[in-house]
Amino acid sequence: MHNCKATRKRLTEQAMETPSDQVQIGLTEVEGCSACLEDLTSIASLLRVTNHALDSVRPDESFWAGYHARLGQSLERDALSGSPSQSRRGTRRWLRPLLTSHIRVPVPVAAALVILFGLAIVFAVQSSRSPVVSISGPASVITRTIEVPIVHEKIVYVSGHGHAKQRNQLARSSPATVAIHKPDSNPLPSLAGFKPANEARLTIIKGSDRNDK
Amino acid sequence: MTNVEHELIKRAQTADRDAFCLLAKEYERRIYLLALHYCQDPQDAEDLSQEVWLKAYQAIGAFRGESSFYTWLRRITINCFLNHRRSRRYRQRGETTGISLSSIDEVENHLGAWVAASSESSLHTRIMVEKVMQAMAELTPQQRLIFLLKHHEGMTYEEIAKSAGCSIGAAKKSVHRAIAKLRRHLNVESESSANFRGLPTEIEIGV
Repeated sequence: MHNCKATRKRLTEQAMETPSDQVQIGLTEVEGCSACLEDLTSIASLLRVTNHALDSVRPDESFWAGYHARLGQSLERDALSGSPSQSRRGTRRWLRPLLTSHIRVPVPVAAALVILFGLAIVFAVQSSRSPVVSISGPASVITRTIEVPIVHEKIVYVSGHGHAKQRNQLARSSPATVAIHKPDSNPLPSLAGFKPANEARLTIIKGSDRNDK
Repeated sequence: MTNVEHELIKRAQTADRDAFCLLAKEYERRIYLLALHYCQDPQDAEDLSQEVWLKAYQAIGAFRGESSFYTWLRRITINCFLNHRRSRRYRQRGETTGISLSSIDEVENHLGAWVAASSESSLHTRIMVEKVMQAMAELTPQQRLIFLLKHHEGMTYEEIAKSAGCSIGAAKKSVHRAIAKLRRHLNVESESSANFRGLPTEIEIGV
């Protein structure tokens, strides 16, 4: 059954696709409906009239000579000012085949290339994040004198047989073995005037108890 | 593509400006008239068409011959039209963007003068042209462009959608709306289609 509403939606396209003098040919869906046929005819007339109107609006022939001359001048101006356009053209000429060439790559190879490319990007990003040690110019040398106390070691032999207490007292009174020499402290006892005995008595003391002999 | 055209294109691609000018001479009228019907101002049409040729000259090295030269050129033309529309929109921001009566009068003055210049153009023709130009001026730039590409250039909806950066449905809707507006403005409804019956089918075109 003919549907005017649905048909009229297609009339515009039908009218635009069909030459204006052949509108009524082969339109079985509108032949039985005078309203649709008239609608189609009016659209076709409108399009024909619009076409004629557009075609009739044109400048004189004398206009075109001046237009062409002006076009030539603007192209010349572009050529003089725009060597970028020339260089771009030259650049594109060798670049175009490279970018538009079709290279067949097997899928595993393509996948490997993509992975390598991704890894390269990741490494590049990571290396850019690591702190960069900047080496400045040659460091200046500052000389500073620091006084360091010098350790003087003096071994003092204290010979004596006696009680440990006496030994300890002696040890306390006369600092022996290691002493840190302080320039401002009391001087260490010296052996000046010491005369060794003619006979040496050696007593071996075992243990630390005073009763041990 | 003819051999001559092919030869001119090859020479133009080697920066031969004269060859490009010869090539332009072949198509400059079509491009100019398309620009004229689109922007409805002769000065704007000349600026726009010159811009198309400049861009074509800069990009001629990229022409690979996969389509005809005019198809390639038309794609550049549509891009220029769209850029022109965007730049006009930015300039008119804050101002009224509707078509004012004064601009329609300007359209009539500019374009009607070219039709009336010839003494052979009939009164009917002049009236019809003025009415049609008024109706076209009331379309939005998008509707006007798509209508011209469909009706005047004979492009398919797919080609229009691809060139204009819209969907096929949007292109069809633009055409439908343009025709509805034209019919409304020219009073071409089904009941009153007799308005155009009186006009001759062959109209004398004054050149």
